[in-house]
Amino acid sequence: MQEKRSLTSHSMPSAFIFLLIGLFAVTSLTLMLIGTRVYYHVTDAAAQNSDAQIALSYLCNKIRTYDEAGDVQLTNRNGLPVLCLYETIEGALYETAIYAWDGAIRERFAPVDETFAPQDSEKLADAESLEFALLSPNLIQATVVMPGGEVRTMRIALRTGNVKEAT
Amino acid sequence: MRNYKGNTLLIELMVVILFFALSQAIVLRVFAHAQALNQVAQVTNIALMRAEDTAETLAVSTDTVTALQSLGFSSTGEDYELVSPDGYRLTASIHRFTQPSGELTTVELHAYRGITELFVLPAVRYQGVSMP
Repeated sequence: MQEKRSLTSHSMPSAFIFLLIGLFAVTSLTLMLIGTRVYYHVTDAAAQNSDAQIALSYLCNKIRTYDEAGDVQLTNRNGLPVLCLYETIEGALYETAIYAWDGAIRERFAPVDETFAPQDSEKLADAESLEFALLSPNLIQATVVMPGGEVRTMRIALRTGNVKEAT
Repeated sequence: MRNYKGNTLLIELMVVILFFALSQAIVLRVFAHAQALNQVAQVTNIALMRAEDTAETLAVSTDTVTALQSLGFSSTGEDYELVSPDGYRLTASIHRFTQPSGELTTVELHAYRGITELFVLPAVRYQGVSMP
């Protein structure tokens, strides 16, 4: 009888301890999963935000730099929508072309008479596509589709002249 | 003696579990706060881009009210308002200053998330009178 009572009194705390430890393990695991999800979400959103922001800010600053009458042109090269910015260096006319090709926004700086080759360019940022629209003679809208499918648009108004649109 | 040892172990375990449970509660709060901050940052970012777009459009438009309406703003009496499904609200208040040399239009764009103001962005448009 004594032995039976001892057994019962010993098995109750053991079960309780195991239950407690099990509960602790489950809550720890849940917390870890929540933490991982939150961390992933926060870093992913921040990275996407900054990537899109950097690409559009660069584009905006570039257009602002070339904001002079006739120096900004929207065109189409090899089926790609291209933003062309012109400048004259030592009497020769140079062109900076910004476009999306091979999953990235690219910039190509070359003399205007050189044949356009999209691969001869520098990669600026990852993006699925980059398109330009002329909303009014001096208002450009740039639309970037980021690798995650997020679409960002930005409007840039030219202060000194109208945008040329060529095909 | 054996019972005493068992109780000590149980108390020890409960203290450890309590400590970890408290840590979990604190960490969970931090995660929730991080999530909330991230949401605010995202909304602010989107609202800022929209406000910048609005300011750029107003900078080249001749009719401020028509430009605001084309961007989705609706009249709320004195001001104009745009409620976005992304969780922010933009209001635009127009002020006009007429001078002999032309008209200066300033538009103050306020962004809100709920009742919290996120930022203010001023947009200015000057239209000079063409001299004969």
